[in-house]
Parts: sequence; structure tokens; C-alpha cells
Amino acid sequence: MTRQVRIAEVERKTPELLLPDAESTAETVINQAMEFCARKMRLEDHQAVLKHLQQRDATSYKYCCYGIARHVGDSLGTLDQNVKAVYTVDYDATPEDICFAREEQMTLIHLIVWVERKTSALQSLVEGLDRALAGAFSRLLGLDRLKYLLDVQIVDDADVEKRVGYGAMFSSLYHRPIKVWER
Amino acid sequence: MERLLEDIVATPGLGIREETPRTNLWDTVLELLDHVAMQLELDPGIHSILRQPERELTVAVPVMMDEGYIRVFTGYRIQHSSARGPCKGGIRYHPDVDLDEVRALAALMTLKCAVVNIPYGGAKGGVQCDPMQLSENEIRRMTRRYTAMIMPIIGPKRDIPAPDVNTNSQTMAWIADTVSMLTGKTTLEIVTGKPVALGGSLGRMEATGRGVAMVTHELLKRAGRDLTETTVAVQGYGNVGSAAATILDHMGCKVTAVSDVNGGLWGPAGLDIASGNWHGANHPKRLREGYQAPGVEHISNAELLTSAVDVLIPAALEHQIHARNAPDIRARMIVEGANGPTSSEADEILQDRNIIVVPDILANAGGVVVSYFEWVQNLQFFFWEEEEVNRNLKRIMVNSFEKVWDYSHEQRVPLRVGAYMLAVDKVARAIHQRGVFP
Repeated sequence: MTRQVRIAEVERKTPELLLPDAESTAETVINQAMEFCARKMRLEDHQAVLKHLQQRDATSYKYCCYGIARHVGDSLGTLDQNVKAVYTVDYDATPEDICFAREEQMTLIHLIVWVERKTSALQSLVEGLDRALAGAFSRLLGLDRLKYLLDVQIVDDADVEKRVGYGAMFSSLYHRPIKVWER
Repeated sequence: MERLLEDIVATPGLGIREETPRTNLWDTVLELLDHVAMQLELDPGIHSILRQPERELTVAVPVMMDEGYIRVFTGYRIQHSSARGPCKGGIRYHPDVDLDEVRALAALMTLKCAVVNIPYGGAKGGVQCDPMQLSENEIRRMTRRYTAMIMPIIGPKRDIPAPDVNTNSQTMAWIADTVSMLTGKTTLEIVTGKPVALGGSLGRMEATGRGVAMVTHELLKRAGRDLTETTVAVQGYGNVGSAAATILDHMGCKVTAVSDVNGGLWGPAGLDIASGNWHGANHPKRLREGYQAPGVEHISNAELLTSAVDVLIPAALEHQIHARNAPDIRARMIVEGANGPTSSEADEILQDRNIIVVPDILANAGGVVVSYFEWVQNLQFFFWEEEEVNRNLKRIMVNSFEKVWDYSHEQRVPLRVGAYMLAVDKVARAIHQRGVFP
């Protein structure tokens, strides 16, 4: 007698993508971001960048965040073949009003990760990397430990095509994501 | 050389990166214009004038990069219509800026200025670049050269740029300085959105949020609602959302929910907005992190949108209200603080459910109104106190709301359709009254 097997029973759990070493990846990402910042601001070295960050200089923070975004994109893309592209985006209301907002430190780095299919493995990877980055960044600046540094939204082709959630941003007139990594 | 290659690869059109597939935004705006023209039974000649921008300028902007080589960026300035006055519109820096996007934004500026009846036409500009790949010095040099190249068509009585995506008050200060240097006279009135120390207007920072609050107040009056018995939820706690929540709280409304990107706070008895603002200022984009108060729960953004309130103010991203959550929205009134927070499918669902939606083109126009005040003050060489700015903003926002409300009711159309019809009608009348030159 054959046993009726429910689909759920035969579905394989998506293999989890383990970040080889979240802590060292985070350190590398932050070092690369500081290097990027030093280059854009024509600062001598990491120490000079750190000094700017500690003085709550918004420009250095902006360049560091962008550097982090690029290298996070690179890490996610390398570790998960599902990732097609990674973008940064501003979150708040009207672009004109972002121009008048106070420049803030310690705000979040908003990323949209465009994938072939959404998996729990990628979600875990993102969470692990975020925890490690928040820890490394807090230690670097001598702050109380931040809970998170990234706001990552994962979208797939259907989201983009049907303009669902953050998938709508790619055809938006007002909120314009900037691509930081692409396969 | 490695850095040069990295820059080139990152430049749209030059490198290996593919463009993100996008719908043609200009076609979308044309569809909107055609639809409104049909409803208005617009003169076909005037309709065809509106379907084409008046003037388009494309410029090649060479910039000496920090490392000693030259890069050429493509820039645009497009004037859609000057029928009602000098053109007005922002300048954006973004890798994907193209002619069609700038055309679409210029046309929408024509309509936005007409809705609030300020004497401007519409324009927009942009430079195709990734500003985060550039140093501040490179951005400054690019801005100055771009300004010099669009100078033949801009001017205080021709076309007045303003900030937009990835540009800010510093960019505007560089533009004003470049024009002043090239003309040999101080020309602060060439742009708006300048720092206050350089002719910017007081009240500009909160203007959009204040306008949203004023429109909400008028809507509640029309709906016969007592402010003190009205509950409000605000999604997005940036410049617009936080100002709107604060002002509505001062007006007496009960703000029961606010949120930022990571979720929000829900307090059915009314949130303490002052303490929320303090917390938000110290934990930007981390509203929920560590915030505790009696009777306040943490909620998700999705929960905020469907919370039991009278008024919902989406003041964050586009398309937050969509076909899937529109049936669950419990607010009876929606005031769009953000641009395009309601998808067209959701709009139809809300209409069927008799939920009133005050459209973005009207609700978040406070910013462009105070930009107009900045220009007026610059032309007069006389600056207003913040109270005067806010008083005039109120006059314009209230009048505009009343006009759109009455017109929409006369025409038996939703406020969004009514606002666009009114705007196109105003521009069409101006074209008709001026006549076709020569």
C-alpha cells in the first residue's frame, strides 16, 4: 500500500547560507567603507576618517554608509547566487523635503536587494551580517551597542513587475534607488 | 587607472551595468493629461500644447575630477509650461536621470503649481551621475559648470530651480553664487531652497508637513468632525511626517500611531508626540528602539496602515497603500503626505469604500508654496517672520483645498481627479487668454 505523501513533507528545506565569519566580514566591510570615505574626502587614513565620524561630521558618515552599502551588496552577492542586484534608497516622503531634513548620524542604511527568489537563507544571512556590522560599527565609534545598522528589503521579479512594496521603487518618479552592486 | 575604470564602469551608458527596467514615465504623464483633457473636453490645440514641453536643453558637463582627469556628465533642463508664470522645479542628481523622466516631472510641476494657484509654470532638471561616487569638490565643480550651461534658459523671471533628489541647500547656494559671479550682480532669487543665511525662507523645513496638517484640518471641518475627537495615524516620521504629527497634535487631534521604517508606536489614548519627537531626534529611523511609555505598544508599518483611526497620513514611500491592504484600511480619510503613496488599484478600492483621499498634488504642496515665498522675499529684498510665512501658507493651502473640494463635488469626481482637472483647466485658460504668439 502506498502512503500518501503531502507536498510539505517532501519539500526540502532551503539550505541555510552561513556567513563564513560574520565578524571578520563586518570588519572588512567597515574597513573598505572607511577607505572609500578617506578617498572621497581626501583624508589621509582611517584614523582621520574616524576623527570625522566621532565629531559627528555628516559628510563622512554619508560616505561611510555608502561604502558599507556597496560592500554589503558585494558580500550578499558573493554568498548568495540568488541576488541579482543591490540598491540604496532614501526612505522619507518627498525628495524635496529630504533636502531640508537635518543631516543625521546613526541613521539606518536602507538597501533593496533584488533576488531571483526570496529565501529564508538570505534573510538569515542579512540578519547575521547586520548584527555583526552594528557591533563592529558601535565598537569603532565607542557607542552603546547598536541593535542594527541596516534596513534591508528583499524584492523579487514579481514585486518589481507588479510594483508591490519596495518593488515599486524601481519605476518610481520620486524615490530613486541607486544601484550599488550587480551580478 | 583602476579608479578611473571603476568610475567609468559605474557610469550609466559607459560601463557594463544594465539599466534597471523602467516604465516610460513620460508616457504615463501623457496618459494622465489625455484622460483629464477628455473629461474637460479641452480644446485640441491647447491639449497638444500641453502634450509637449516648451523647451528642452541637454548639456554636456565636463568636470575636472580630483585625480586630474576629465569626465563629461549629461545634464538636462526642461521647461514644460510657462503659461502661468516663470517655470519652477527641482534639479536632481541620479545615475538614471533621463529626458523622459525630467519631462514627466516638469509637467507634474506645472500641474502642482496650478493646483495651489501660485504663479509658476513647471520645469525640472537633472544631471546623470552618482553623487555618492563624487567628492564634494567634484559635485561643486559639476554644479557650477551645469549652472553655467543652463544659464541661457534660467532666471528669476524665466525658470527658478530648487533642490530635488540628491541635491540640497548647499547645491542651491553654489548655483546662486555661480549666476551672481557670471552676471556681476547678486542673484539670490535665481533658486529657492537656499540656506536661511543666504536668502532662504524661514518655515521652509516644516512647510510640507505643516501644509499636510492644514489640509487635514480643512478636511475635518468639511466632514463636520471635531478635531479633539479625531484620531490620526502617521506613517513615516521624517521631515514631513513628524511635522504633520506635531502640528496636528498642537491643533488638538489625538495622534494615536506613528511609524518609521522599522515600525511604529500605537497608543489608543493618544501618543505623547513631544516625547516621541525627542526620542526620534536621538534615535533617527529607530523610533521603536528603546521607546517605552504607559499604554504604548509597538506595531508594524502594516498594522499602522490598517489601524482603527479616523485619518491616515501616509508620509513615507510610494505605493504603501496597494490592492492587498486597501480593503483593510479602517481610516475614513487619507491625506497623502508622500508622493504617490496609493497605487491606482488601491485608489479604486478606496473610492468604492467611500474613503476620502486628499491627493499628494494638493496635500504635500506646502513645500512648493513656501519656495514661492522665498522667491517673493528675495525679489522684495525683504524677509518675513516665520509667523507671516505660516499665515500666508495657511491662506493658500485652505483656499486651494476649498477650490479642489468644491470643484470635485460640482464635477462629481474624486478629489484626485478634481485636482488634476482644476489644474489642467487653469493652465489651459492661461494659454487661451495669452493667445498663441505671434
